[in-house]
Amino acid sequence: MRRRDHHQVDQATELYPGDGKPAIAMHWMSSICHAIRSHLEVTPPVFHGCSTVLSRADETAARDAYWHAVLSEATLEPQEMEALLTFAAKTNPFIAEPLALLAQLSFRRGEHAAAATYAAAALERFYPLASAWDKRRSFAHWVGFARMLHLRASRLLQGLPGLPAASTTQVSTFGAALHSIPAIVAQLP
Amino acid sequence: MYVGPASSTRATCAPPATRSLNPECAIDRAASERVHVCWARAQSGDLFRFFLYDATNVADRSSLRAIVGEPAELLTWRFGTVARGELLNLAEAIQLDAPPPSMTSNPADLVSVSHRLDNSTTLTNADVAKILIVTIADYLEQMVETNGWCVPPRV
Repeated sequence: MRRRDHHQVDQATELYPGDGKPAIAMHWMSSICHAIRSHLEVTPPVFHGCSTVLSRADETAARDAYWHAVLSEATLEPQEMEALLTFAAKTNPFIAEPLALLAQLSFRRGEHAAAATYAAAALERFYPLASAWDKRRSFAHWVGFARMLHLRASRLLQGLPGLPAASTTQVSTFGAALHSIPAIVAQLP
Repeated sequence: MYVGPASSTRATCAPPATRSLNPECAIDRAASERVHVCWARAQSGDLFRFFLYDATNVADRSSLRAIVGEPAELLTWRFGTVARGELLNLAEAIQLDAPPPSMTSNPADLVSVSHRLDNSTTLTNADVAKILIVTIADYLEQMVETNGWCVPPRV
């Protein structure tokens, strides 16, 4: 028997902290949320305001496709990764991380409009959940990643440099322009 | 996950369905949820192995009541002492993917549930909903394969 929780059992069978693979739980969360929604003082935005129930099969298929994509970057073609991430995002409409990575893939290809659209769509999924699904990075990290991608893609789409507020007096050791963090933050979506 | 408008901070936040890309309200919701979960854990457990306040100790309960108020303390006490797996057949929903039964429409209708201190107790539909939404928020924060809500059965 697998005994996986490192605090709740004395002899956990798996090394802490594990690989961060998302668990399968949204199916019961969404069904319970749907069942109790009429008795909540405030219906939370998660799971489309508790109106959508995700099946276990869809949740598992989406998780497995995503996990294959992110662990197999070295062997997959970009188109294969994109197909897996698109499938994950479509099959589980509550997870934002596949959209954030689709934004990055689009950005790499120079498709800035698509990158901005994916980044915005990712943020619209991150906020209702208010928690990272791929917990290899924190919620704040994921949101920051998506916001920065949105900013850079949007600016490039307008013919502007990807990052604002380049210093006119400072460059890095390698000659790259330095940018003011507060000035960047002020322009984030 | 944003679970309710219990604080003045949350009352100033945009509606939950906002399409704004600004994260401030999302961060606020996340922080609020963590506060809820933190206090919910204070007197666990039915599942959780640790406690901050002794659910059997009047003085401990009073201390927590002084911090969070009477209704919230009672809710956290119930969260940590009732068998949550029985609520809407939560255990079957987790283990067997079984759809939960429908709730009756009256928020004040009572539901019987096992209780680790009092053998059994009754909860209103509204309290059942509160306990379950915090349960969802709680697990969303720890939803990785190395946590063991599904294997072995724990709810």
